[in-house]
Amino acid sequence: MSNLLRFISFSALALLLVSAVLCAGGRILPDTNRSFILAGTIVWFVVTPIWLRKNK
Amino acid sequence: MSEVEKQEAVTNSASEDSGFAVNEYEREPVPETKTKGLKSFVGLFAGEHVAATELLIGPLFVAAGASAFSVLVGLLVGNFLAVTSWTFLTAPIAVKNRLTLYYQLEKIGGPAIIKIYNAANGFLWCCLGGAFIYVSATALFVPFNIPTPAITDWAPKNAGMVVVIAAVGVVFVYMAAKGYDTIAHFANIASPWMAVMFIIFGFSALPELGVKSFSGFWHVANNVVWTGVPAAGAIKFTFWHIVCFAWFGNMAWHIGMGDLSIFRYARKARYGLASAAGMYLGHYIAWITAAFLYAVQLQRNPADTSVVPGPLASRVAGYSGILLVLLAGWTTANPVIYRAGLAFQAIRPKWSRVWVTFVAGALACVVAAFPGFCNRFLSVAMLYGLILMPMGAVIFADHYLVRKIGLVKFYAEKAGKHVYWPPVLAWVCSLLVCVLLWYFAGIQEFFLCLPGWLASGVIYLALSKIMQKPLKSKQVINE
Repeated sequence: MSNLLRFISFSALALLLVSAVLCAGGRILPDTNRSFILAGTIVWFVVTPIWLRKNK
Repeated sequence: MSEVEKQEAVTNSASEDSGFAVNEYEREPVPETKTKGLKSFVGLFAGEHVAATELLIGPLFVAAGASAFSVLVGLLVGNFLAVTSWTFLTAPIAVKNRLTLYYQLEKIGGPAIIKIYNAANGFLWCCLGGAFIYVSATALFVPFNIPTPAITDWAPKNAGMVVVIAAVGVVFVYMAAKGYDTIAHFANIASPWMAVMFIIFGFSALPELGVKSFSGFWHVANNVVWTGVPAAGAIKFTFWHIVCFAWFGNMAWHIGMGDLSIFRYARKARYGLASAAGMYLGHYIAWITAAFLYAVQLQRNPADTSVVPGPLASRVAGYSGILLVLLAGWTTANPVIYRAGLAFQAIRPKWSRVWVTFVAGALACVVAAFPGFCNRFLSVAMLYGLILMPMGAVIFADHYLVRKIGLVKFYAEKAGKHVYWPPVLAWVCSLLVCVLLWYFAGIQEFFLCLPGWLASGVIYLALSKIMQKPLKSKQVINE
């Protein structure tokens, strides 16, 4: 379970990066990019504390 | 908690959550069995050097009229020199003695010097805490629609700004007074996200700057981002300004030996190279991408030269940008204000730690209310290091040179002195040399570090030669 949560967390960070790279390449609009960044941020801050606490 | 323990906590509080048991072995060398591997140091540096003030420094390089070559190449060179300083100056002494900066200073100059060092450090941490509070408060300028101060403004521009800064400051100071455990845990969660966000700033800003291809980047970098034209009232930055700023921006920690407390846990001195993680992530990528945010602002409105991190990040990354600015300031302000409180309390242990933290926090809030302080942050960062750096030269001279000229290492400890004057006088006189060079020779603060450091070492050795008296036979045997 912890590994799955960790995978989701880092996938969210990857989403942020992919979205920004696509925006830089003109594949998505800046507004869409901002929405993806917000979504990835929310997932990171919701999921990461759970597996971090379990690990500790 | 004894006075000594408090002094150690001052230096070490920020690192505790990084897995370093740094509040142990305050008065003895760290045993070999407790040393740590390279990975621990890479993580620590990468986390510590991606902070709120990167959002000020990157834009201020642009406002200072630095060219693209100066920034992109100058930062590579300057950061390399900083990493070299950690690797060849700080880490070898730390690994050899395995003692904290505080304990080494006490052995060299006696317990009294620690009180002076704490007073200076506490005051400087208040100033730094003020900068972090200001950066965080600017995140709230966006939702509350508060007018941003101009780059030439010194005093607060409107009541709303003061209220927001005070409110943010009160929350931060209250949490610092309660202790830093909660926010340190939260900082651990936020740290990887913050590092990624700085990279995202760079990519997300490129389309707005008109970069369509990799080859077009250099043209945009020269003509849109770093145009080489300084803003009103700013010092024009050259290649050498950038090199020296990148090298000496953290001088209190490398040539000032502040990171002895960290590297005493290193198995090998070459772990100093781990500082490259912090330098090239925080002081290269983050400074460059923060500059992109400022360039986007200038692209939209060339008249708006204000350096205000909240609106800058919000334009490119929306709500997530605002959150980054708020958290970057919060997670760094909290340990700094906490440390400032401990530093002041260590001067007089009877004072309540909570109340001293409130006083330190109040001072930080006053600093935060003056945007001119953050608008001149490049100079402020240099002054911070300049004031503490002479003690690093004293430690270096005591470690490598004192015995070579027939003197005694750790003299105050061996002679049982409460105050040994050469290090104190070296500190004061080297700062005086810096002031004289600045005032009469017109040498800017960015170039004073090396002469100041050398002056401190030379003055310490010369005065030791004059003032050291032969130890009694029992003391010599102990040595």
